[in-house]
Amino acid sequence: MEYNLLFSFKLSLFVAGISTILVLITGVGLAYLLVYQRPRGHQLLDIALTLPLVLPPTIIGYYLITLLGRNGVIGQLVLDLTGDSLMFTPQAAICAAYVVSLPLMVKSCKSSFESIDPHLLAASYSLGHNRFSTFWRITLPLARPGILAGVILSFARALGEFGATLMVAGNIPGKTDTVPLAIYSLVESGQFVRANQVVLIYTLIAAIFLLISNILGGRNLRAWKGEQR
Amino acid sequence: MSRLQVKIEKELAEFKLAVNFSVDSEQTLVVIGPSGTGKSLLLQLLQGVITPDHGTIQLGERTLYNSEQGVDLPPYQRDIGLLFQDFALFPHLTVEQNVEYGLLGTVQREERLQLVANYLERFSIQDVARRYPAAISGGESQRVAMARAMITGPSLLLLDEPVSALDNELQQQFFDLLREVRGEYQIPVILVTHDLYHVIKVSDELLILNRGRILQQGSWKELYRSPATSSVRKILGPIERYVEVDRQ
Repeated sequence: MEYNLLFSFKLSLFVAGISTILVLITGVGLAYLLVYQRPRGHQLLDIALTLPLVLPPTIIGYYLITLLGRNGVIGQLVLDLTGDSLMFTPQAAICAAYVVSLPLMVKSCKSSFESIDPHLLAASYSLGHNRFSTFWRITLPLARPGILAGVILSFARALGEFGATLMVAGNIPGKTDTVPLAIYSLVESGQFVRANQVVLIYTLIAAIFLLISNILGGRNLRAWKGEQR
Repeated sequence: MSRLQVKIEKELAEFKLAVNFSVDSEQTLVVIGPSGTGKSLLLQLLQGVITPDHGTIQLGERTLYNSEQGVDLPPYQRDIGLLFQDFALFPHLTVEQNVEYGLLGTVQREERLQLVANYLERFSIQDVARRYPAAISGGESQRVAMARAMITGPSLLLLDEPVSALDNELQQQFFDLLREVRGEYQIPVILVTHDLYHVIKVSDELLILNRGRILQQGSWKELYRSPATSSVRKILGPIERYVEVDRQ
């Protein structure tokens, strides 16, 4: 069978891009909640957010099926609103990518927030800035390297997602076959030359993202270590 | 002109902090006591980072906290200047931006920049205006921290172990700066330390705190001549080694 690998690359970038945007917004918010607000049950929330890191992809996939399937809370809601099932769609692949990459973002942001000297925040409050202003002007810029690292890691993790995606989005050529799924199909059908090409290109893309992350992080650190603007 | 009046209680795991004191404007109250005795907690209660169980905190005409009236101003509305041992300068902002920070959102840009320029000159830090905190000296850092704290015109200045990490020359520079600022702005100053000898010369009154209770309050001379308890005597230590004491 001939695979449309360009489609797979485009789909993978689309799925990883959308899920990373969602992960960025919610991950920063959840990390802030865990570090600075510490609501009742924050430890349980922390555990729940970390679980996808340690659970097998099949279990994450199973949970997602119970949520996104026709009888699941989200799946039924989407079915009622749009008349279409969420299962075996690119949207389901985005959900899978989101769930597996969110913990990386939360962990990275959390450690960044925790490393900020509380005196800096106290100084900001004493200078008339409320929580939001302090977050925007002090917390966020100081946590930027960690947030950036979280974005890159989450994006890379979303690009590489396989198991849970296979369970909720399937492996439908031309519809839900992301690059990892396409590689699986290529190997399964014995097309090793093409598999080699795809694997190398994919590895290169991942390495470029990590390089960008390192360069951006290093630039921030150099600026704060005393170089003039 | 603002007088600080504090009467608050806060139940802690190890002891109950219960203090009742006041500080006049232009007066420096040095809070001293053993480690873990509630000194830093007292500062946090005044800042509004931690809420007392009950009591009142009055700063001039303003009520910062009153448990009976349900008043508890958040830290950003308390109008209190803060200075820490590590100066807590924002590392991602230049000296100029650090000083400007307290005026953002409240003062128009042109007026703000003019005011910042005045303060940079007033505190002799105009030459390092475009540097980041990591690239300036300890003495410059303390002046930047003071300029940043004072530019908003606070009604109270809180200093948390401000000279513990400084060498003798920088300590002296800091005290000179503090005297100037205190006289110019006419505000009360509270200075918390575990090491009295560095700050005794700038103190008007000492407040001896032990396990959340005030053991004694008064000038260091009064406390030296007639310590209320043996604990006070012990905490004061050998003052005569550091200042001239009239033994009569």
